[in-house]
This record gives sequence, structure tokens and C-alpha cells, in this order.
Amino acid sequence: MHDERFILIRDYLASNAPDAAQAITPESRLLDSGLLDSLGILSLMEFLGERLGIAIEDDDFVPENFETVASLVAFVAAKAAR
Amino acid sequence: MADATQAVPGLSAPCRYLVHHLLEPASGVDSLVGEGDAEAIVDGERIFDRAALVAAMQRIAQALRRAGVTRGDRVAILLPKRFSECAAIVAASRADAVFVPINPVLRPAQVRHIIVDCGARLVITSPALRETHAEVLDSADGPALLLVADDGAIIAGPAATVRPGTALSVDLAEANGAGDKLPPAQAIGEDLAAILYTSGSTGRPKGVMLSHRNLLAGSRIVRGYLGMGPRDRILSILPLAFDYGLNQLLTALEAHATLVPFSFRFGDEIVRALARYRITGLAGVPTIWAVLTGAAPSLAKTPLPHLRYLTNSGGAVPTATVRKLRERLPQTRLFLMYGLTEAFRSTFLPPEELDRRPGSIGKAIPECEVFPVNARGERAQPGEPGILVHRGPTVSLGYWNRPEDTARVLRPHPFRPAAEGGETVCYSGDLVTEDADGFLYFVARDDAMIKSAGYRISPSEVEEVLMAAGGLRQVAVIGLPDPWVGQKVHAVAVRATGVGEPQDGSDAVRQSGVMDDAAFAAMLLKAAASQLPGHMVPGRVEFVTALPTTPNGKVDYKRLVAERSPTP
Repeated sequence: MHDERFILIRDYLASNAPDAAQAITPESRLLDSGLLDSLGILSLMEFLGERLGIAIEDDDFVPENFETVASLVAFVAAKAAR
Repeated sequence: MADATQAVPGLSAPCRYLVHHLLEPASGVDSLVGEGDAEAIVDGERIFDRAALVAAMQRIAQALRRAGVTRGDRVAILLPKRFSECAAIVAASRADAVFVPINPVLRPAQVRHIIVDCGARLVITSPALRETHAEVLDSADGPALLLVADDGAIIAGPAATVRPGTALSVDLAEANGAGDKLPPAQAIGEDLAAILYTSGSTGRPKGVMLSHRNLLAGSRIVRGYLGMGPRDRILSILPLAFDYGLNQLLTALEAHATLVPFSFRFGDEIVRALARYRITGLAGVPTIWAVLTGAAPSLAKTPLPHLRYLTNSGGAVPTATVRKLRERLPQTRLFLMYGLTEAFRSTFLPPEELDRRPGSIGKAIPECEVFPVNARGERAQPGEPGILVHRGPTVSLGYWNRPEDTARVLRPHPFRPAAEGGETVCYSGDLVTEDADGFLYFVARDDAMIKSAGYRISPSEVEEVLMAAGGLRQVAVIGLPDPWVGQKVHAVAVRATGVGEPQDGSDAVRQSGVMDDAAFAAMLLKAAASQLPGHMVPGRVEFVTALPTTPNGKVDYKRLVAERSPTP
């Protein structure tokens, strides 16, 4: 079962990387798969901040939050819970 | 090296007029020799001294010659940000060829456009990028390929004969052998050295033609006012396909400094690299500074005592970002530059003027003259907006194979006829004003061109892709103010009603009639992302019932932008 945050992130990634869209799972790697580059990280965070109403800070831009789709989902979930 | 520029005893400076001359052994009195030569290029763990760079240059130049590349042939360079890319650029010059660097983030359609448009005889690429771009590079009518490893070693490439679309086997021991077996370069300084592709307000990217003299002038001028020397260590994060990115390579070679080619995804990676490589100079675009000040937590905690200067080009840095940079890096000098590929660099604001003239793009760079010309063709008065006109040795040779576009940008000197010594100058298309002390301020673009994350984006190129997806009657792509990337790409579209619309029978058109706006926008963005690199894909598609027009019946881009921008 996928939660709405996963679906939001998956659909965002899919619209930016159609070649990889079909195979995005929670385990998909974000950085070494080419799904995200430096500019993509900024746009994605801006998008998530806007859509989920969370305040993104500079401390959030750390590789741990971007390892896999699941790490990113966990990050926004923790952020929203605060 | 047996070359026309071999140092002549008694000559006070080596004669340098071609790009690869920056690597020639300097004459005995050249005070710059030293320090940086032991670490000419540092690529991750590997250190390449000046001799290693010269050897790689000779190796690749010889392979180009064996492939039949002759004087003036275009050689496209599609390589990752590694030592090999630096070596390939100087090698093309050594082989009398014209180098055409291609940013590897481009999508196949753009890569193909550049290769076809410049008529590349050969593409120097890596095995990984060859695979990524196989659809372009390995097609039957594709160009010849020369594959090189990140360390500049020849992997496979054209041998005696070149067949299109094939990377032929080659005697690797021979190809990677040492020594310069090439006759001296034949080109002169006026010859074409490079074609850099960049976008305007309309159409597909155009190739700006730069002579060896243009590139060396750009290197000499920037190196001069930054005071670069052999002790400098430059972090190269901008693409070499971007004129200002290429300038970091050339200035580092000229100054006998160290260049560290580097790719990053996180701001903290830049901070770590600045510390690890004891970087003294960093060149960036506004997005880099937004990342460093807003998305790099370690910047505040990492001492960077070596970092002497930062330089910005490719758009204005917001005042708030400038302030944060100076707070975090009080010892580091910040040079704000302005330029366009067609004239390379035009102005810079000296660091000591930052506080006195916030928002200024400064004054002309050395050796050049820059002034605003108003709509009546006169020199604009202080405070009066005018198009920035640039004179000097960095004025390019125009756009490759586009005489009409060239004629719009490169024009006769406005006030001095050719018969009285007036030369060709560059009209930037940027509206600026001048203050009473001659400092210039950017006002607006004279056309609809978008600048995002340092990239120039032609609205019509994005519009074409969106229209081709089907289901639209009309679309306008605009740039809206954005704190991260300068301008974010935004599409305003009018949906086709299906009545009296041209039907191309595609699925998109048939399905679009039944899709709601959100689903249809997602489909359009997906289509755009499949054909355009990330920086060109709109962040949003917004639907309206009609686009506003100017009295001449054209889409009113300025109004579209104004209606969607926050009022200051």
C-alpha cells in the first residue's frame, strides 16, 4: 500500500524522467539512478514544500534524505509531523 | 614541441595566438611558471601535471588527424566533467579543428541538433555517454566516434578510414604512445576555434562562433582583473559548453593555475570540495549561490581560508543572496559579471563597489567599451534605458550558418562609419541604464528570452514541443521570477476545443478532449520532459481561454509575465 506522499513524489519524478517512470518504487535510488540532479533536488523540494505545506530549511538538503524514494517519503512525513 | 610558436631566444614572452598555445612551454622569462604546473588538473583522486595534460592533448590530436580531421573541421565534444574533457578541447585546437562542446545533460533531440547543425565530422565521447546518447551517436548516418576514458586515454576510435556511425578499432598501443608526431598547427588567431550553442528568444539553439583570438582575449582579460596566478586553484563546476565555464579552463591554463573539474548535486558537496582541494576561486551562476546560501548547511561551519574570490555570471544575484554570501564568507571577494556568449564577457562590478551600487552590473571589462544605445540610435543619457552595445576583442564572429540572425546582433559601429575605422560591434538585446558615474544597471530583456539557472532558454523551442504533444490551440512560455533559478519556466496555454481544430489523429489529441486540466497538464509536461532537458521543462502549465496580444496581433509576453509577477 502506498501512501499519498509516495504517490505525490512518484508522479513528480515520473513527469520529469519519463524514461524511468514505469519502474519507480519506494526502493528506487534517487541520486545514482539519474532521477534527480542538483536542479531537480531544488525543484522537488520547492514542490513538496508548496504541496505539503512544510517549511524546507537548508539543513534538509542532505544526501540521507535523498537516498531512495522511501527516504524522501520518511523525511517529508517527519517534517509534516513536526 | 615543434610548433610555430616555439619560444625564440630573446623574445620576452611566448607568442600565443591559438587556444592550445596556452599549454606551450613558456619561455624562460615567463614569471608565471611554477607552482600550479605540478597539479594542472585535479580530477577526484587523480592529479595530472602539465606534462600529462600536454601528452593527453597530443594523443587525442593525433587520433583526430588519423581519423581524417583537417583544418576547420568541427569536432563535437560530449564528455563528462573530467580531465578528458579539458584535454579534448585543447587537442581539437592542436589538430586545427573547431571544438563544439556539448553539455551532457541535453536530451537526444538537442544533441542531434548540435551535431547536425555544426556538421560535426567526429564526436569525442565516453563509453557511458555513448550509451546514453546511443540513439543519436550510433545511428547509421551518425558521425564518427572517438571514445576516450576519463584520464584521456584513447579507448577506441577511427583508424585510417572513417565510416559514419562506427567507432572503428584502432591500434591502442600506437594511439596511446607518447610523443608529438603532428606537424605544427596551421591556423591563425582569426580562425574559428569553437562553436558554443546557446538559445535566443526564438528557434533552436544557435552556434556562436568564437575565434582563437576571441577566446584568448577573454582568458587574458578575466585572468587580469581577477589577478589569477600559479597559486590559484579553481573549482570548475560550470559546463565547459557554457562560455563562462570554458573560461575557467582557459584562464587556469594561462595562469599555470590548478583546475579541479567537479560535478555536484548538493550544496554541501561544493563546500566539501572547496575545503578539500583548498580552492581559491569559484565561478558560478545565481542558482549555485542560492544553493550555497540556502541549501548547504555545512557552509556556515566550514572554514574556507583559501577561498579568495567568487565570480557570478549568467544572471543577476538577488541582493539578499549577495548579503548572505558576504556574511558567510567575509574574507572572500565577490565579482559580479555580466556577459553574453556573443561577446563573451562585457562588464563586471568590482567587489569594493558592491555596497555602494547594489544591483549594478558594473563597467566594461578591460580592453572593451560598453555603452547603451537608445531607440533613436543615440548614445543613451544617464538614467535613460538603452540596448547595451559592446566593442572589443571578444566580439564573436556571429552565428554559425545564420547570416540573418548574425546581422541582427553584430552590426556596424553606431557612431563611426567603417570608412572612418568603425568596426563591427555586438548588440546584446539587454536593456540597461547608466548612472552618473558610468556604472550600468540591467533593466530587462528586449525580447522574450528566458534565463533560468544560468541557461538561456528560447520560449519558442519549448512551445514547439508542447504544441507537438497535441490538444493545444496556442501556448506561450514565459519566465517568472524565482529565488532559486532566477526565472522559472512557466507555460500559459489555450486548450483546443476540438471544433474546427487541426486534427493530427494522435492519441494525445483524441484523449485530451476528455481529460481534465490537471491530467492534461501532466501529459503535456511528460511529453516535454521526454524531449527537453530538465532546465527547459516548464514547472507548470496553466490554462486560460485566450492569450493577450499586442496591438500588432502578437502574443503579449511582457503582459503575461507582468500579470503573474508579484508587485514589488
